[in-house]
Amino acid sequence: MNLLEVKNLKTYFYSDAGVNKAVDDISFEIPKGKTVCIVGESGSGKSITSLSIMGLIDAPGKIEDGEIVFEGTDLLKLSEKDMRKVRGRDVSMIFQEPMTSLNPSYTVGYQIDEALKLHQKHLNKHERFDKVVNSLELVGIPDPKEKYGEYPFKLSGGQRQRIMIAIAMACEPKLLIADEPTTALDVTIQAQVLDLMNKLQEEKGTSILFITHDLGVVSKVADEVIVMYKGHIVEKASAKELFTDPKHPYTRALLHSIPTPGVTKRKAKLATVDDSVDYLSFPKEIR
Amino acid sequence: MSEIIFQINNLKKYYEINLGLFKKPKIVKAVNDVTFNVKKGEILSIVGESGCGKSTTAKLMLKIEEPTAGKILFEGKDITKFEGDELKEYRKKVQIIFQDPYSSLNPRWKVGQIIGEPLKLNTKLSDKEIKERVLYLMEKVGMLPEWYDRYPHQFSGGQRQRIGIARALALNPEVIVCDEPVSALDVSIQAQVLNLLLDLQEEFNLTYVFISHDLSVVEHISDRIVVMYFGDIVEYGTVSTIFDNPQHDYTKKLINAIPIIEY
Repeated sequence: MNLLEVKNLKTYFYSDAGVNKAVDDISFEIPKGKTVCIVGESGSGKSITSLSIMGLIDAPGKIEDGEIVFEGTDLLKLSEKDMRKVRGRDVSMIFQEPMTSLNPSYTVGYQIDEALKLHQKHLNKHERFDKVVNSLELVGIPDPKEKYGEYPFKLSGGQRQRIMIAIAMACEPKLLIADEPTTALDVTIQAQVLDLMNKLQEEKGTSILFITHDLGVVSKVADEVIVMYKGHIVEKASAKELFTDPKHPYTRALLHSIPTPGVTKRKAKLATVDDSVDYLSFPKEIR
Repeated sequence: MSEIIFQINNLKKYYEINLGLFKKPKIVKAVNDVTFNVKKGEILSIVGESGCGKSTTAKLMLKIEEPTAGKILFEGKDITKFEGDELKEYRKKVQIIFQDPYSSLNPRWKVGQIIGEPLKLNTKLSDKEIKERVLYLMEKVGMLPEWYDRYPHQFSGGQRQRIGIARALALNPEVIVCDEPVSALDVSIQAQVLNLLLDLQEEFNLTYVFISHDLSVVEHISDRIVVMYFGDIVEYGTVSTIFDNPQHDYTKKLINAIPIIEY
């Protein structure tokens, strides 16, 4: 059962220099309760894909063609007003930079509460307060009642990212889009945040679209993996298939370029993605 | 290989944080009694998470910051006492590659100017000789000569990092402090830059002090490793002792937290 189906999506950016086909005809599905990872390098179009789903593409960018079907509705056909109801309630997003994506002048409790105020209008103040405290507890913030009135600057990077997750999860969305949620964090904190996301998914049955450039992280969270290169999907497979039997030359180059303790020989030459190879000329490996 | 180039003894760096007019300042012990050495021709990595004091240690070694207490001996001489010509000489011998190739290059300068700047300031070479040397350095880091007149914004992150590396190499340094040189780069580019750093080390017989939070990279590149945690060294040894047989709980935790692809 698919929660989201992206069909032939094309998102282009226009400038005086010409058209940049940031996302060029991609199709994929996100099944219910599963985690789909998009991996790729900077400029591969992975973030633009997520922004397209959220309906956050602004001029000079434009969604040229395609469908984004969420539970039977094409999100691209919704008015801005209707889309605003979907955003935050059904689909929500965690951004990469926990330092800049929280508002510094509001308390963290207020910022979590805001999502509830907008999307769960039947709740009164006290019910919302309890819910916010609950969600702080859920993401593992110690002393949630006291932390409610704390401003973001007082929290560490890991804690801020937990707040971001709490905001995104406040309305129990069906789809959570996480754009590089752990890239700015230390490894031990990263491990905690990944565990937390896995735990939340188990409890709430949320589908997750996880965007990252770190293949190690992918292997920890993904059910299915999409490899993007220059706006195209070059390989799509289950996580197991992708890591045990990568088919596309680009995927292979990417996998071999990471030093892996215990596998790569110390100080040996690392494989690199060869700039002179046109990886798009190889057949796409969609499994 | 066994000659010691840096000897660091009981190094301390404390920062005072003023909490207000009538409050006692808080002391942050960024580096708290750290002792280790760097051998000539090796790659010594300092690893740890944000706030562990690894970058402060690097700054002290570069004499950007002055230590609160302790000694840093470079080739047997205490660098805290360096001034004048001796300091200038030291600056030539110890160079740095910065983390962020986007903010560490002057956007208004051309590549040739950026790489040539240290030569202009520190040597008596003529403009023509400087240009020759810059072109030689550009070739060494894998850049084309026609890029001499380009600006940094015309390059990708990986290429910019090559500019930074060429600049660090300009004065034939003995030691290069690499402060997270690949953490801002894509994985595929990261591999290219790591390969380049290893090649250059061999060719120019360099010593690297490699600051990183990425243990996979550190495992790949290092000879010896210093693991820091809240200003202290918790473990210090060769790459194989640290990775194959970690002793300290924190080191174990750090190694276990690396997301490794396993299937």
